[in-house]
Amino acid sequence: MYDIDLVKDRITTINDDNMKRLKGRWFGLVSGFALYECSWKTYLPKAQEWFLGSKLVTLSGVDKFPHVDVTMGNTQFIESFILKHGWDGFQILNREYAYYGLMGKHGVELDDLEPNKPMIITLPDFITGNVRWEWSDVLRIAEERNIDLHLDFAWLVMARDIEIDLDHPRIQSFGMSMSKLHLNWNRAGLRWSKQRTMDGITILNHYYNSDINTNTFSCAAWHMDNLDRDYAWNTYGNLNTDICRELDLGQTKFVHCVHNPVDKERLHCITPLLLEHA
Amino acid sequence: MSEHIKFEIHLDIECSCVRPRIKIYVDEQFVFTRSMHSGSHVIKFEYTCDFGDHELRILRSGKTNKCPEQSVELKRVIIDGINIRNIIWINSYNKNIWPEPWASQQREAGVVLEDPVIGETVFGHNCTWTLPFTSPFYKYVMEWLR
Repeated sequence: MYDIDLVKDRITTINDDNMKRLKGRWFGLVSGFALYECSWKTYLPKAQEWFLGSKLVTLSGVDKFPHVDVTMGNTQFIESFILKHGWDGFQILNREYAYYGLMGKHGVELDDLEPNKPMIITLPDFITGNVRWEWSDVLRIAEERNIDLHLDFAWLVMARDIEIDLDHPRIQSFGMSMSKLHLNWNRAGLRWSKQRTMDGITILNHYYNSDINTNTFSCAAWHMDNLDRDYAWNTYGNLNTDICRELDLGQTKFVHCVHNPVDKERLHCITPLLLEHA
Repeated sequence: MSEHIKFEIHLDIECSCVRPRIKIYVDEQFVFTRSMHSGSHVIKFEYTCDFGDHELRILRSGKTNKCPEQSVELKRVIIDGINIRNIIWINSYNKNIWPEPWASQQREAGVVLEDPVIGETVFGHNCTWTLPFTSPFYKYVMEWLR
């Protein structure tokens, strides 16, 4: 019933008919001059509720991060962090998000992490489709070596059955974005910080004391009103299970990504199958 | 509320046999002391600041009339990752402990010795350099820029 050739190496996000309709309606609103305006100050609490409102993902200890700022997605979360610490002033682990490698930043193994040097880490990752296998060791070593951790939760909007305890002394901030679910074309997110420091996102939120990016945040807020936080799994969860059972693929925490038993080193994408059989 | 702030103090020191002594305080909390040899030094420490008013103070001592020339230069202050050079020029001040009898001779000659000296970062004499600041630090920097 399911075509194995539609299990792809390249990971693509789900851009289904519903999402396309939403996009069309949004541009219809804009071009039709219907008024939907949401300032970043209105977007911020709405986005908090939306991002943290998942019934499939559990984040505990969020209350330890009282400083919440709007972002233009997690790429800004990353770039603000990098600008603060400098290209040589932070570290990443091996098998990280391609962004770093594309610009010549190479990861290290856990044992080679440098003391006192902050680290950004993607959770869940798209090698395992889960929280990194050595997460508890990361936390232990970060504490031993005084390494501040900044968590890139960009893919969390596509995940289920994940529990992360953020109440750890070395976790300093985390960022979430809508992009991986739907709004790659209108990147908007949030950053939670244990304490706010001067960097690009802080300047965006607290120095430019005006209507910053109202267009971006209006669009994001409108989509939050019209797209459930757990849309991906709630819509495609059963289909994912069927596909994996029939094609003998391993489920991951991502609805659109699976493990192929003969190639467990990487994730494979079933977005084409999900879209064909929805 | 409070925040944990990283400080970096960069000093260039020139001296011969007698070393200047540097003591650093945040508010009344003593965070560093050492007799410093010639060369460039970076002093790093962390401090938890309650939100509100604070002072970073550097006490420079060890200069007497009998010892050869010494110089201590505050090259850079980095707080929360921010080089606050321009803030220092305006907001910091230095209270010199002028050497005697030189100071009295100057006053008798009608010279008014500046006290404190705003933005002074070269410490030829014993002195106390002070930077008042507030926490959260990012707000302090923003308010300064505004």
